[in-house]
Amino acid sequence: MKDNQLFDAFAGIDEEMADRALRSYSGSSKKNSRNHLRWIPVSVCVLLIAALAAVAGVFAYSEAKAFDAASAFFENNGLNSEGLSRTEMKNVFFDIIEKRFTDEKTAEVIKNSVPCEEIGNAEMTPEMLEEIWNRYVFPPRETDSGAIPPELTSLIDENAFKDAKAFSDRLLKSETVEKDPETRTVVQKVTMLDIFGDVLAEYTVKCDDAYIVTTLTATSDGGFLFVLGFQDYTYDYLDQKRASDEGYASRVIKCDRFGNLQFDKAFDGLEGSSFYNCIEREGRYFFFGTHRDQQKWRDYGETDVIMIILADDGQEIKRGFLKGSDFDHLNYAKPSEGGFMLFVRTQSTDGDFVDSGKTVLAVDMNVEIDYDLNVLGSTVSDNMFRNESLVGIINGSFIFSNDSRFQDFDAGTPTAVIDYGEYCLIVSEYVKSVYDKGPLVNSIGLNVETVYSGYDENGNLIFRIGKDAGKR
Amino acid sequence: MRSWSKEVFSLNIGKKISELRNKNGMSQQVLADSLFVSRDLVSKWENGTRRPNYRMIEKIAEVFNAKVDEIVDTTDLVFKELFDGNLAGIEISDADLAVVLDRFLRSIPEKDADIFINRYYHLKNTAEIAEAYGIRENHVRSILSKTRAKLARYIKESKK
Repeated sequence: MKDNQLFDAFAGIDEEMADRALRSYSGSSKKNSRNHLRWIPVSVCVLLIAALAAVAGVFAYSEAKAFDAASAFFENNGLNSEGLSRTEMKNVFFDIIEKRFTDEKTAEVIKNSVPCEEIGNAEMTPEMLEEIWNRYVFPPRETDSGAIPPELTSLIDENAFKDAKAFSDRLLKSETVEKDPETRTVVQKVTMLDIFGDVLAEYTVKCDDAYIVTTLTATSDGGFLFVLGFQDYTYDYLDQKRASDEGYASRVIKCDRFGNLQFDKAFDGLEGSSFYNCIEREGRYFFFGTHRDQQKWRDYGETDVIMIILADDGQEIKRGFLKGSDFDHLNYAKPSEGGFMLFVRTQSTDGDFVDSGKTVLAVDMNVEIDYDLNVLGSTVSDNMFRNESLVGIINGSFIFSNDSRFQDFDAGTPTAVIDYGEYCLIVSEYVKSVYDKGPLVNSIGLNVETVYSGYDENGNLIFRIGKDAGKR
Repeated sequence: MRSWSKEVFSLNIGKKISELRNKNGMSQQVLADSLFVSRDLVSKWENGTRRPNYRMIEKIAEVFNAKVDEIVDTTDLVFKELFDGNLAGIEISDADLAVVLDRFLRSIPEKDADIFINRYYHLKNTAEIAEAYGIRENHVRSILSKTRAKLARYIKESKK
């Protein structure tokens, strides 16, 4: 969530609700304060006591839930609760998760639970406690080790894999290199590198600032292809328009191996679509995403899954939709034998799964399609891998960040995998700590590093090195 | 980093706008015209029944050639809460967030919603809210924390 996004969202809440809250605020306090109890007749007090006894059960329930949460928090983080009352445990719990670190019991709990040489008997300030806590919950990863292969030295020095996507024999990076607030335009740049970090080609395109690169891929002809899609939170405050009001059609841009433009095509009639995946198969380019037409953006209406096939010259061959409910949303797509598997979330109410239209609001489904976009079958998934991203293609197989082979990986979230023959390189993003994004706007940011880990064919770690990747 | 233990004052944006306007000898109508809003809205900002969003606060600061932090203290705890850890990683468009927030506020108990709105719309401090509702400040913080967590879950669910 962006800075101030929720602050601004609150500013836009229904005025009636805002007024009601203000009325309840002004009306409840002074009239209902405890000092006034002495004026209440005894009989009313008796009734009140009876009512309090009745609601005590409810209060005890919510108190119990808070205590349960606090207990779980203590247990999960190995915190020592010895000598603490229930209330003190809850106070410490809220003091830590709300990042205040001001309750005196918090300091005591941290001193008794977190192994740290600095603590000793010194008086701990909230800032010191927060730093110790951050280090405790973001433990250092296994340290750098092994000899870095000479061919990787320069790419690691330049941290070439930071924000790069890996595709078998190449890397692709996208970035915004220029912004012009006057004309509301930006320059988007896509760079193609070889697996040793040398730049092979690059392409820049000037476009409206509503556009960002939503997906890209290296193509079999040695070139690359990317999609510019719009970001709806781009907002024109003077004209009070959102990007979706304007209707930005996604654009597909294809370049050859030298970075020369081959085609730049807008998806006509699809002004409210976002494409998250593009996959080359059978000499054609397949695009998958979610579509909501312009009017429906305005009404916050229904979404459909959209699929498009382009020929290698950019001509549209076919488009199709998965639709039928108020909400059909693509999480991601990957190739399967003879087609693709789409991972979809749907609010289907047409009886195509158990409990459809009853209690289930949305369900995850795996939908298999062929190369002509015909649906071959669908199954409800209990184990949807959400927010997973493509991290590499090895021997034609797509590797996602949720791959079971990463189960014991201990250096953060994998972002790229490349097979160098003698070793396999896993690049990951590792969170070192959190920080305040101040001074103007306070929010939580992450200090991250890019970690390069090399594994031999038996899965043994042979080298590892981390490079500071700045703040997120 | 400052200590977040106490909030002495609530964020009185309306009072700050009024002070800056008077200091610059500007009428509510002139300020309204400069911002392309109605005089009635400026009046509501000043008396605290409505709150401008951050972009509008920036524009107001621009009109008075002032800094944003002369109108709103963005180091205040309320900003930190609004970027709570539960909400930090969620990607959602402004338009979708507006709809989801509206639905969420209607779905939770009215008292919780009122406390939540008084905190994050009217920017009252937790001590004031505690006094107003005759409950302990810790209880207010607990309601706010739990409601923020619920909101984060609600947004995540709505995105699925």
